[in-house]
Amino acid sequence: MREFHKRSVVKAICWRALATLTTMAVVFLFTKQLTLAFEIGAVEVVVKILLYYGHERLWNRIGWGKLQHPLAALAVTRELEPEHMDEIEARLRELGYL
Amino acid sequence: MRFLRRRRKRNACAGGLDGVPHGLLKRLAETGVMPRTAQIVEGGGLRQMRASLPPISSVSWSCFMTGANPAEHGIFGFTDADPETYRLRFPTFTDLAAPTFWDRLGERGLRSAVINQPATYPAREIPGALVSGFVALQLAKSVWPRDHLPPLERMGYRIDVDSRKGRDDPDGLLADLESTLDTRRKAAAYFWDREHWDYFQLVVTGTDRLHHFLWNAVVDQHDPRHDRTMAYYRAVDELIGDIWDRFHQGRSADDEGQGFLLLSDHGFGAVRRDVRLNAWLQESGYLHYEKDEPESVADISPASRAFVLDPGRVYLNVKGRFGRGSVEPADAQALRDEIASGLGELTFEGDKVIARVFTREQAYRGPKFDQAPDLVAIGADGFDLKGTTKAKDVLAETYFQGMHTWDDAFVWSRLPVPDDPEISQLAEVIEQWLSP
Repeated sequence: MREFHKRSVVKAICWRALATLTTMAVVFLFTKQLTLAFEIGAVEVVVKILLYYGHERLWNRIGWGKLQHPLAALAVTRELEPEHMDEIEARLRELGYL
Repeated sequence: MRFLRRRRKRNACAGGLDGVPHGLLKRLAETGVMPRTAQIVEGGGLRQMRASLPPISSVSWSCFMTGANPAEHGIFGFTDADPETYRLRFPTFTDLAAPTFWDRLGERGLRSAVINQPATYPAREIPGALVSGFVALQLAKSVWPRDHLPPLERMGYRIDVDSRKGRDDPDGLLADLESTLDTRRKAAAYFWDREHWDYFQLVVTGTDRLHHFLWNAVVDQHDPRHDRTMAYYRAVDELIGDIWDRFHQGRSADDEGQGFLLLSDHGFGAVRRDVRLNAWLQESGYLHYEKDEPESVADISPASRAFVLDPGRVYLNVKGRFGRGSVEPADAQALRDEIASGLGELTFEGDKVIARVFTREQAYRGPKFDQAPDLVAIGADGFDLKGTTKAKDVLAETYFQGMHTWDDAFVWSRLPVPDDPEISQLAEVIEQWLSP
């Protein structure tokens, strides 16, 4: 099943909020500099949210590994059965074509 | 990436009104029955359009969806006769020998959502989604991809009305028309939101059914069912308006109408008499049967020189072309001229019965030219041509009130539609717009 753009956008925002807060926490733990942690977080949140969205949409076009509806790939391309031809004839007669 | 591409790419939307003549649409728009349609067409662009030859839905819509001549796509009518046995067969979507423009758009990465398209049964894969229309039998075989089937079933989607009601229960037919149109509206809303389409198309076929059985009520304001038929047209107008509004959401005023089309596949008019052309051929000595009560052209005798398939397709029974052929190829031209001339002389109460007779050279071009009928007759106003073999009288009254007409289908678009348009020319117009 394909995803709508808005679902990808919401997922991107949720994940970015979680990941950026994690990045900021790690930077603060290593440097003890709150300003630096916010600056890195601010740059990262913009760049990576765009990358994430593009990455999602790209993967959305790849069918590999996706669970599809069990009937999704069944094309009906064969000739109709004779009884169906009889039914078509009846429909055409109802409308006066025959 | 798709989300970037969609922003800069154009899209298009077509609304098909099966069997709505140019004159009727214009009148309904001008008299306030179809106010939304009136708003759409008031700036110009509404044109009379020629349907296919013959002017029936399976051929005309096949011409529309392929942009090809019948001798290219191979659909010449609702029926074909097997050249060896003369048994009738009913061409389906699997017989369509040319790609649809949805297929061609798909090669450029564009997707189509097509709902209730006649002559696409059984549904096959297209780049996008397809719901087949008339003569679709089972919904399960009318939907591509199949994962749209459960939602359509849940909304109670109906492929068609019960046409049997047309004869005995006209009020029941009207109720069917209303409820079926309602499911078209639901299906349109569903696919509009669910499918990532570049081209969207919805065909309303109820208009054709209404005209077949209740044409008099549509055109005669004193008819007791006139108001209800107008109410149906108001509902069709609301649906057109709804799709127009959806299409224009988020667009600038400069873009209004760009990429939007309205069209019909043939016109309609009142019936005076059915014209059974096989009875005329028999009466004129061109057609003989092996049985007193022939079921179809499969019962013709080898002495036959010509036969007709619905509605006005004349085939010469030429040796080498048909299993029981009797006409020498060298004599075919003279025989064809003779039959065309005889058809032109048919009259009823002083009026000509046949408006025009086209030769296959005038009507067809393409690799399937040899399978084309030798002549295609078009009935004059009021004369509905039939290919039945079961009738003895050439002219007869009928319970049908409306008949197809050839030269007064319509198209409305602000795209560059050619002058004096013909339905097969619209595919290229749409493709040019979507992928210039």
